Amino acid sequence: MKLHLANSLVIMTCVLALVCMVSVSAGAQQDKGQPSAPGYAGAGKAASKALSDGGPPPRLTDGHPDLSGIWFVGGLGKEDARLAQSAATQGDPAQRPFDPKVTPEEKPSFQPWAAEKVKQMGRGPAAGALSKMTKEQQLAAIDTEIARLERECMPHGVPGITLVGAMHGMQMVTAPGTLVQLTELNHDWRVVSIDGRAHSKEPDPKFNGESVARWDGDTLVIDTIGLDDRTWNDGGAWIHSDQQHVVERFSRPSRNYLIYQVTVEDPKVLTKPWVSAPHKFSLSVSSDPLNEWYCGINPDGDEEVRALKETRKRLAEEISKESSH
Amino acid sequence: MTGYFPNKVFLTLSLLASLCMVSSSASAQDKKGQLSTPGYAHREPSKPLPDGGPTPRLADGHPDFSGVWFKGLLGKEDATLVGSFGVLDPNQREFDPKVTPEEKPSFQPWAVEEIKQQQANLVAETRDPSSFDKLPREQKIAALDMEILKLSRNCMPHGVPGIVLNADRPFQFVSTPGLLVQLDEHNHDYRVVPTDARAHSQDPDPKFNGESVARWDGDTLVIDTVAIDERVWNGEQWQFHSDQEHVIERITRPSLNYLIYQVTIEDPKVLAKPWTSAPRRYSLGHEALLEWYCGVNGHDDEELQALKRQRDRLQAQK
Repeated sequence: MKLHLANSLVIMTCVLALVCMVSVSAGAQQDKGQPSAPGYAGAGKAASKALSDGGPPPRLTDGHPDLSGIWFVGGLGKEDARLAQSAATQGDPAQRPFDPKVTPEEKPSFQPWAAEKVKQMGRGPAAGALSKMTKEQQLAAIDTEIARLERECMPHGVPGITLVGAMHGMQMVTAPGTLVQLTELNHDWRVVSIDGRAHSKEPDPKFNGESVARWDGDTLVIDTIGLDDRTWNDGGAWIHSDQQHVVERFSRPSRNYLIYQVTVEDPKVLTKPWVSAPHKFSLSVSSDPLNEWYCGINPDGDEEVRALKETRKRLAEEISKESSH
Repeated sequence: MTGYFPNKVFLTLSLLASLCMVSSSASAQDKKGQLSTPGYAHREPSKPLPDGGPTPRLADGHPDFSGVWFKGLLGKEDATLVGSFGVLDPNQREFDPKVTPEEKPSFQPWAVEEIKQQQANLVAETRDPSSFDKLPREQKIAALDMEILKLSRNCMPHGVPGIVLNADRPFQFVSTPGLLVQLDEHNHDYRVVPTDARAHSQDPDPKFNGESVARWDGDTLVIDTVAIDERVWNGEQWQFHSDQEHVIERITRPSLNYLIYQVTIEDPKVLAKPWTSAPRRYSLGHEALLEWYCGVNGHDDEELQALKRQRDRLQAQK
């Protein structure tokens, strides 16, 4: 029982961590009609105020919008941990990427086999649930946790680098012909050339795929293929195939706001293309740089994985002993 | 005894890996005159890039450092030019010690002793793995500790100036008026430096890349960095520095195809006097950086765990 308690604690911690991790995409995947404001835990606290538009967007020397800046999900120009804590319920509406009442976003429509897999991979056991499971079920639950924890230092890929990777802020740097995206989470980056080039014939798979980009008026359109199928598109378990094709559209309607919309086509996994709501990012109100978040330096996650593996080993031995009797 | 066998293999592999890793600093630290050509691959000498024309400039008139930069003069990395152990094609070196010799860092006596001890531990088991078994237990533990430390560092950021000095792979600069971004292929690292001549903060928190401020001195960008996390190594032979370390980097782009980098390190707690590197040469490449995410492949971790288990077993025998 001691063992179970320790495991329940570990798993509860994981679940809590995951709740925090997926808060962005959870917000992004609210069902239509769910209220956007009340219920978040700002109890007794005045609603936060979104930034003003801040004036016209700055422009590069070539006349295109300059997307440069440090950007946070939502409208506050910062990440407010007190407000984010409530994300498990509703989240501060001003820290959400969009208001589902105004711009609802459908969930991705998975093929049946993929829906089953996503359900298995994406669902952690509830706190205390392990002790009520059979040993076989515990084993499966632990395997899922290990797979998920081992992903923490994995790159998020495209579009995950924005849908998930930007949850603690991202920095864009635009120079004529080049866009650099830097994320605080996992200290990740990608570079996109904006020169109207075509895709290669058969690009090798990469975590960030092969991106080509062009301007469509004031919107930057990034087209990406050749994506390594080990990445997940969101903070859940949105698996994808080598056929995934991602089209991202970035615009900066005013100085303080960046709008990101993404379409994902994946005929092997989805029954139809998925189009996100326009996700809103706001310009940092501080002059602070992104923090350094190097994954894997702090071995806590690693210890956790090792502890789970030990438990797994013991369980597997017990099961095999029992089955041989 | 059989337990040691896989470890010997690991140790040999890591020795090979570290030889590859230190090749740049080894070549950088050749004694004057030791140089320069013979011994590397048997083929026609490589040709350095031409200067390529005038320096491109940003809208504000300062040099634009943007581009993918390779060590040396070739604008690419040519593995076929790498000769036996640590001898690089001279055109792939950052500098020619005959022309621009570089002094070794001058350490304080305590630091010299510390380095000597670390090196002795490394030599004890990596230079001659077969002698590992004959070592007394304490030395085995010390040697394993050193190996564990080295392996644990594989995914560590290199910090400043390691992000340039230890950049085994090419790096990319993207400069805009007011900002310089450095992207590293190795470990998929990055740093962002404001180039607006702002002052340092009063008491900056330590970070791997420290706190950098930068200003233009004519056509030279001068980056001044303090508050560098003590866990980073400045080089393979320079495993520690203090919280007092102060790094001044000077970057110029004398022509389209070349970048020159020179760094001065002051560290009164560790060095007897400031160290200034030779001007190091980088040349413009035309390929995108590859994706090199450290830690995604779990082999190092397995190796590390094996070494730690072996160490714990030895410790338990005490």
